[in-house]
Amino acid sequence: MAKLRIMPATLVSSSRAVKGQRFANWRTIGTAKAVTSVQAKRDVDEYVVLDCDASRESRTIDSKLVSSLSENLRIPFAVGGGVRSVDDAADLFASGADKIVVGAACRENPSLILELVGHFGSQSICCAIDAISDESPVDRIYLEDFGQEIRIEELAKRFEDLGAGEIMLSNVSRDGTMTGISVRNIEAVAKALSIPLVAGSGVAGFECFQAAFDAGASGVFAGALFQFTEQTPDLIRQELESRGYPVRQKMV
Amino acid sequence: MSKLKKVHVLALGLNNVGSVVNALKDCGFSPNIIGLDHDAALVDCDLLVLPGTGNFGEASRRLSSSGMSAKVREFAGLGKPILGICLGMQLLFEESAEAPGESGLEILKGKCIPLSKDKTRKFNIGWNATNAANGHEGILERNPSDFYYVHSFKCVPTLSEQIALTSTFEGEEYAAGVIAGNVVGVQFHPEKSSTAGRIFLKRVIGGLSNG
Repeated sequence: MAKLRIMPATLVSSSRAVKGQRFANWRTIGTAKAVTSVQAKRDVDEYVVLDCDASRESRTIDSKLVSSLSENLRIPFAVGGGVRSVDDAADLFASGADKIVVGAACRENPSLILELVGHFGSQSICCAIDAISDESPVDRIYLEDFGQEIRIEELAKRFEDLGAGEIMLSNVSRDGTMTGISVRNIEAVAKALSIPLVAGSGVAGFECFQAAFDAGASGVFAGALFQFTEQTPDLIRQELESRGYPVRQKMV
Repeated sequence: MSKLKKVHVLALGLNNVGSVVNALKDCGFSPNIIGLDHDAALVDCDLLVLPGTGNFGEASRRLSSSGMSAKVREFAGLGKPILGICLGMQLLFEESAEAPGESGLEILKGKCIPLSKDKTRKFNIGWNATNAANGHEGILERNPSDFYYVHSFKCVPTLSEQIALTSTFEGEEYAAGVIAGNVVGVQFHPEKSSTAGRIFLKRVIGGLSNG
């Protein structure tokens, strides 16, 4: 198995970096460019940028922004926000994205995954699942225009069967709160999958990384922790290494 | 600095070409991006880079329908340097189980098969240790080095002496890099592998000669 990934994640709304709680109350924390350059300097394992308003506003994350952010990144760059078609994805890949995260569109039109995979290969297509909460580990899927709730592990398996290369699991009730992760949700989805799972939402410190990896995650993404606290991906990495977890050996 | 001055990066319309170009610039090159409609012959170019990501079938159809396959084969036939990255490495071979019936560039002998032996689809996504093989220690600053991988198929060269680097998936060693004369293929993404990737690119390109 690949080494465990520590992935700082930045949410943007157009070109502003934003931070919210439970997928709401967004406030601006700076320009996306400035926030990204900090992560680029940290030489992290993988960097994630998602436009949290794109889907709702029926647009795609700005490919010019992606292009400008990717200029200084020497590491893998996952990008998402309002991707609805092969053309949207092609634009983002051409702008410097290495991996596309598909959210709303793959729940509204699961066959989009098949199309994306046919063009770009499974390994660069990551499907997002947003569990409502620990108590309600479900997301919505639209089949023949009817929305219905589906358990996250079932949805994950469905996405895998359609060709997704990776699943990105969030938890709406914990997102941005730094109150700890939902180990149970991560475990349930990891068990159902043979493709990698990256998980986040509520990540509060080293223990969350350890717990998520123990539960079967291949990567852990975190926003608030790396933006608002002294904690850095390197500190987490060193702590994991000292406890015998396989992490990336950096060359400086 | 390398003797190779004119570097072309072939864009298939499926690739993340930008980061490959950035990495080559970091290594002191001034790469040009060429498309499948590039009508000039490739002979005036010193190094052709085939970047990764994409589906083998889609890529090989685009290469052959545009006539680019023939140009790349001719280029390789002259002993000119080629660097294939990820899918670009896989395309150097004859065929892939990802797209049965589609031909690769057939510059190297061998084929691509799924990484995992069982029926479930498995992906190698992330940083992995990479070891030198067959006396190629010189291309790694540190042996092993960690590079970034994103793939679900692996290359099986017919000539095992062409394997220059190895990595491991589910306990099984596979070809992470091949070197055959002036033809180099790497399964990982040096352009996404930070400092380690840049050192590697400098070294491996430095070892190529202009035909």
